[in-house]
Amino acid sequence: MTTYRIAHRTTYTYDSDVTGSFGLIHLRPRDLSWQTCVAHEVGIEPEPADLFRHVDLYGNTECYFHVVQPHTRLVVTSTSVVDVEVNDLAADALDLPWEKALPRSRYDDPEAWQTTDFTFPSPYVDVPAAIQDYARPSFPAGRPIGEAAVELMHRIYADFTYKSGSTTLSTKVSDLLNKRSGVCQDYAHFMVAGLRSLGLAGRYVSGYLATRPAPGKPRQAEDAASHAWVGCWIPGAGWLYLDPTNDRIIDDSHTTLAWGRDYGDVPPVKGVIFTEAKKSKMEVSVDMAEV
Amino acid sequence: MTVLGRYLEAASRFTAMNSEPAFDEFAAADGTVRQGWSSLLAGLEAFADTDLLQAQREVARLLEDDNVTYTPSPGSMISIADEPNGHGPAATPTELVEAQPWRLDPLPLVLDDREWAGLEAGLVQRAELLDAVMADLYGARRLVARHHIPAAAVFDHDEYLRPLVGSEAASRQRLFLVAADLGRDSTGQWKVISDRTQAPSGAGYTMQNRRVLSRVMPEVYHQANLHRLTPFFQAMRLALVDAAPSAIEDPRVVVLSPGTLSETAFDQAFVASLLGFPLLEGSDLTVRDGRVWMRVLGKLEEVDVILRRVDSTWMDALELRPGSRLGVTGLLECVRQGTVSVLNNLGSGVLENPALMPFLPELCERLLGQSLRLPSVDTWWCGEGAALSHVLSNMDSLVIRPISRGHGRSVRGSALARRQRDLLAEKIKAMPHRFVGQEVLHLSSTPTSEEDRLVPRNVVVRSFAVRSGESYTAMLGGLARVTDDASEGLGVLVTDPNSQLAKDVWVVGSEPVWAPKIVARGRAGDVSGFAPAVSASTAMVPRVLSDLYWFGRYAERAEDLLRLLLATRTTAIETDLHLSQGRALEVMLQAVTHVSTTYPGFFSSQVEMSSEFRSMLLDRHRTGTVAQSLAALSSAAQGVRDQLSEDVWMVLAEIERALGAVAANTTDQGLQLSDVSERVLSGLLALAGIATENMVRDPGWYMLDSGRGLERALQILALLRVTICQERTIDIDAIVLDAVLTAAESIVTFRRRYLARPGVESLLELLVIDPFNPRSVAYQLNRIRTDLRALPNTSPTARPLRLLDSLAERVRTSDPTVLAEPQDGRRPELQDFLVGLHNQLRALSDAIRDHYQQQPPTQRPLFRPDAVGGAA
Repeated sequence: MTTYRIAHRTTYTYDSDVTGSFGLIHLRPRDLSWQTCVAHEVGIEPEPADLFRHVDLYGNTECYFHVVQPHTRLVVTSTSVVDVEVNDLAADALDLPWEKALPRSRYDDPEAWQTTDFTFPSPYVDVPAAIQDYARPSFPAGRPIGEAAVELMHRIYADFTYKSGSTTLSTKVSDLLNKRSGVCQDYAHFMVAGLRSLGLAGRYVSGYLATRPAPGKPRQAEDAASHAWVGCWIPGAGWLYLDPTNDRIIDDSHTTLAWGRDYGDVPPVKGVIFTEAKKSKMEVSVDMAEV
Repeated sequence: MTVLGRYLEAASRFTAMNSEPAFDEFAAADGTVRQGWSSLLAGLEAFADTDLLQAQREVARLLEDDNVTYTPSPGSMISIADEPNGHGPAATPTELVEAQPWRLDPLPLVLDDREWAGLEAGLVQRAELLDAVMADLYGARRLVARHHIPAAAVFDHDEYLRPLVGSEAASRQRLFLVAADLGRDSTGQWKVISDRTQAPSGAGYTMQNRRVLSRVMPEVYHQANLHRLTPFFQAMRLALVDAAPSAIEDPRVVVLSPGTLSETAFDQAFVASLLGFPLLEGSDLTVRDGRVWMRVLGKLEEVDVILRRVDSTWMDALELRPGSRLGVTGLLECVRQGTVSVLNNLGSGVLENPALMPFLPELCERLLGQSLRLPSVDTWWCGEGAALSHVLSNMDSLVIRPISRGHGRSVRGSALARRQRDLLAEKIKAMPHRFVGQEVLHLSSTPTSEEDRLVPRNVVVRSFAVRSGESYTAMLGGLARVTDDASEGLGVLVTDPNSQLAKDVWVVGSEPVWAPKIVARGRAGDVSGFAPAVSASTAMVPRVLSDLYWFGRYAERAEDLLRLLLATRTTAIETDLHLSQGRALEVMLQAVTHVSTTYPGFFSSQVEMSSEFRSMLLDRHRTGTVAQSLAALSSAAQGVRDQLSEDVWMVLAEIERALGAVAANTTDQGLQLSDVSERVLSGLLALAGIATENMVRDPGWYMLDSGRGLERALQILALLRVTICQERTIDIDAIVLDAVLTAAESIVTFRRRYLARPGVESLLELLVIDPFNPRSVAYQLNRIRTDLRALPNTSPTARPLRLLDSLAERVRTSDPTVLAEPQDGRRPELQDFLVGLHNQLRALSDAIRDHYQQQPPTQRPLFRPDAVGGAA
């Protein structure tokens, strides 16, 4: 088991007054069979007039806030302590032929109806016909789901170049088919689209990744960052989580914050401001230390 | 033989000839008149025989008088068979479409109340069923978990709003208003073609149709044992109040509209004023302390219930569609906190879902323990294999509909070219669960006027049911639509929202119907029913105040320019007789261009007087013209329809008709132009009269009046600046001053008072300084002061009042003798004085805007990062 102390700080600065800020944040690490959120605290500056917390449809904790005091700087901080273990799926579940992992073919499975929600195109994940052509070679008839999904991940890792700034939030999966580059969200959205194109349930996961410092070197603050990966539903066993950006099954360096159909369901921070400001700046820092 | 008699005969002949059975609403198969119609027959026959054409014109005129419009949405014209980019209709969603006149047939669709009773029970049951389904889809979700409703039909529907699933407060809210589009098959069985649960429109149009018919055929109307619409609106009002989140004694209910450009803006405004609730837009509301407030002058007032006419996904830019300004940011959290009720419930659009139709009979048994009374048209949901193959092999005989309305208009398979049909088939195969195939109803026909005849036209009826206690109350009537183009044939109705003719639906009894006698509102007669008082705070919403202020300003601007045009025309006629004084005319013509800022206008050497006058009157796309001011006036009025007397629309319609007549006459040499200008002017005077005589003195009125005063002062100053700052010969000046005084409506007083010294000095005294001349600048300043002081949130040191003080001081201390003194042929001091006042007035207008009409700052996303970044 690894315990992390994570400090995630997002700072927005504006060139003139913002008279109101509404925000919705997904920053509380989830409690899972392999992960426990030991402590969690949210700080917002200026002090919000309203701060409400609730649990969404997918079990993520959302926090709504409303700042009414005029401000030129908004700081959202989240500090969490979380225990993470390696999540081992039963190997035999991964041997299931992939066709048996389609929610629509599993009327017998009590979870199938809910996972159907992750089989359709969603606002940030279009599923063009060509993505099926891309995914299909990894899924010959009868191939075990674990093997097939992992191979799809390998191929995406091999075919894509990690390049920040090459994509935006509005980059579609159909654009990625040609571009073959992007950041972790793009890798995740692309892989989710590939799974969905075959009828599998693919989920987008938002979280943190702790990179291990080189032997003998201390951990650097910038070693950590917001990250995103993918879940694929395995009937009877839960979800297989794959990190196509790093070509590996998630382990105890991945801290799970929230999941949904795509980025749009679980952005760490989103909001609406009222202002005549022309310029704004955002700075994010994530500090993730093993304790 | 009567017109109806001929219809009856033709109908029976048609039935005999036709191999396929058809159902006519009027003529039974045996050649007799159906029940319901029979009791009205004598009256209807007399009505139809008198002059059917005249009745159609009368209906059109009455609708025009009330400015009843429908704005077709270009987006809704794109069908599921159209390819994105190209091959589709020319219209693009961004294109602005003008409001079309609402069209209504004089002859109602008549239904016997015993027959209606069966339909009504079916509608009420359907509303209960849909409500129960909604509660489950956003609550326990057992129906999906147990496969009673296919998951794909819900989870991949655009209107299934995940942020609301599981919210306890939201799930306590019952479905409020349900509409169904009904058609009758050849056996006479009513079937539901589509359910409307998002934010059903049409109830207002229905009442409007009833009002018009009650005036076009008063005898028939009063003789009929006609069920009234009023009880429905009373039920609606009660249900809105009942829907308030907690036991508040007098909850604040508002109607939220997407704005005056929306498809059914008339319907929204009309329902709001029928119910007596304020008609607001998103920017009028704000969220604070976890609840919704209405922004009124200098403060916030709590809102408890929102009747929304905005589609759910636009209702909250934070959690739903980013960037939407039609809703209220933060609203979802308020709904979750249970501090506000939004009706229909956010997310109710998921029930506008033809994929549910095949499952309704079983759901009805399961949820209500009853069999479904009112069937839907036969529907095949392509998400099931067998249904998919049925639809694909029978496309020609089916209507293909997307399960989410946003995915395009439905199409009839048979109306598609081969290529389109193949493409659509591919689309369906790629995402079968997103489509259904539906039976094409062989719709019933009903007599409809076409010139002086009655012809059979296919009909669809929209019916309404509103929450009432633990169940629903159906409207005893409805909104029928017929296709008025015989060549379009069957099926058009279900796919094309436009090109339709409305019909009122009369549910009649064999016994007299008890009709509550309630004092009528406005000109509407007994059909309008109750007259709830609109809360005065609506008139304090900044957007409303802004619209009313500009209503005043544009009305005055149009009026002043018309007076100037008429005075100038008179000058033209007079100077024709004294050619030597042509210079005076030039001064006046250039004044017209200056004052209206319609450059180059009369400064251009090519300009021809009567065509320029024509353009000044008619060209609504040219800034500064009368027509443009009138268009702006009308658009300001649209935004505050619930604040204005209905007479306003009648006057505006009359003005439009006058302008329309002269626009149509392209050979006019100016005679008709003058005549029409007079007619438009008297219309504008009527408008001023309505404001003075009929409008309640609330903040809205004071704002309107201050706009009028401010504009009048500006117009006088602009006119004086370009006419009297130069010294001219006495005979030219005499003509110019005459024209100026005529334009300023002060010539009579002037002649009486200043007989001895009719010069610039006297004119300044009368038009600028005299506080008792209602046309003077000083008078306007006093008027604006009185208006502003009557408004709440106005301290004596408020900036608008301070500016007014300084303006008044400047006018009061001015010396007309000194100002009128020429220096080298000019009056520079006068020029400075007038320009100074003009600029100060404009500053005053800005101050009024900032103080009373302040809109919230621009709303934008917190930040749109290009990417969250990430670890490689």
